[in-house]
Amino acid sequence: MSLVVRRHIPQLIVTVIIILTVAFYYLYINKGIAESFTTADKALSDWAVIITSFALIVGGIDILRFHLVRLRKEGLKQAPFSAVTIGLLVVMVFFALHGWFLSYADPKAGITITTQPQFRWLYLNVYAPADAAMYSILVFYIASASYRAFRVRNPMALLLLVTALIVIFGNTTIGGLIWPGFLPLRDWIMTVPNTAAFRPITIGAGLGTIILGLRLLTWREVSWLGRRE
Amino acid sequence: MISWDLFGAWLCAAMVVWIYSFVYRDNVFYKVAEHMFVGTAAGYSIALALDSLNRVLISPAVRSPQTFLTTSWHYLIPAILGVLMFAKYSRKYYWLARYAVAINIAVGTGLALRTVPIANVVRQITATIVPLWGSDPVKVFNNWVLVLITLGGLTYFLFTIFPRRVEGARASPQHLVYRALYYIGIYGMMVGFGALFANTIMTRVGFLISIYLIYIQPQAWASIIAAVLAAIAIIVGILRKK
Repeated sequence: MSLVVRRHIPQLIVTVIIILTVAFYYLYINKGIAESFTTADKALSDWAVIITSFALIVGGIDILRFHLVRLRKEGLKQAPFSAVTIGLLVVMVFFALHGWFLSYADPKAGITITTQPQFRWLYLNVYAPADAAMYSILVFYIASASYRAFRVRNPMALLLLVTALIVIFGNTTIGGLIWPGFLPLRDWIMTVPNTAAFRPITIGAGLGTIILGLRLLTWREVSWLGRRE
Repeated sequence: MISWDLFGAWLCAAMVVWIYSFVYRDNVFYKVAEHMFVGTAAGYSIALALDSLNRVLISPAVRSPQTFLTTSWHYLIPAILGVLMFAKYSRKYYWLARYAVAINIAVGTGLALRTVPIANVVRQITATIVPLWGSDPVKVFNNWVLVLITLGGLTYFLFTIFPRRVEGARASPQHLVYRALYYIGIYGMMVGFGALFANTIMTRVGFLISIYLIYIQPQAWASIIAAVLAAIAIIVGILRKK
């Protein structure tokens, strides 16, 4: 198949959709066009939701394939763990499909994909605690990182340390007991220097997004196409 | 008799303890908890995807096919494109997946290009245009701090055009202003990063405390048994390495 169908048409789709979505948002021609644009805009967002859903399914299947290969190729050291992942993935999807089936077969029961009892049990007792633990485990790594970062070696590190301590003491009850000034000082840091410090970063990120959009528009950004022909 | 609720509570406590055991050393129980997490997370994301597909596409098509075919027929296009995403597994037809990706990238970029120039650039600049003289000294001081740190940060991020100092010559006024703003920017950002660091610590510690109260404390025995098992696994792992 030619390069046009493989690369240029997808790139053209990107350009046309970006131009239409941006142009009709900023330009007002008449009420009729504005209304049709709103309808088309809503439809495009739904298109994106549908495609993202398929992408999530593809991602799940990728994980399944990865662990199936490990199960086949790796020895006893890894295979049981991959079996656990595959088993739970399949069980979760099975219960989700069961909930889906029930939502049509018995709508009065009020069971859907995410409210299927066994699916919810797995979500609440395996996924939720593991997710929270994985998120909070970082506190231990932050503790060791802060030991390295807070060794005051220059005025900048000192400033970082002092600010962090003021904000921590301002956020806790014990800080108020040590010195009542921590709370107003924390409020001042958060509203004035902190806002000012992150403003250039926000502007930079905004400019970066605009430039990325322009690169996509002019076909200079091609990393999303994946492998090269 | 052990109920499913009680078994679930034990499992919650064990999962948390086994994941925390990684802080000391990798062990077999951590690996089990990790792989259970990956499996359920993947299953959960597939279930969420099915739920969205059901809400947007399948349910309207099944419940009122006539209305769907007259008003929402075009949803079949992204559905077909979505199915084409599976072509990425083919060596010959992998490029078919690009059509769906193209639409998602274009919609995302289009939406970003509408909001980002206003929210991230224009609003930030207008919010920095504040009075630098006035009757309230505190407000004036705050405004000066705000403007100088913002300008300093922007100066720090200038990577293309900035006044250079010619070697051996005296620094030009432009160069001095540039250097002053540069350092104000660095120190201002250090204050910002200090505040961000403190807030991150507070959030994570808050999570840690709530995890202890919700999962570990109510099932103390399950947590202790899980911790003992993890400790045995760690010791066995160390002995095996020796």
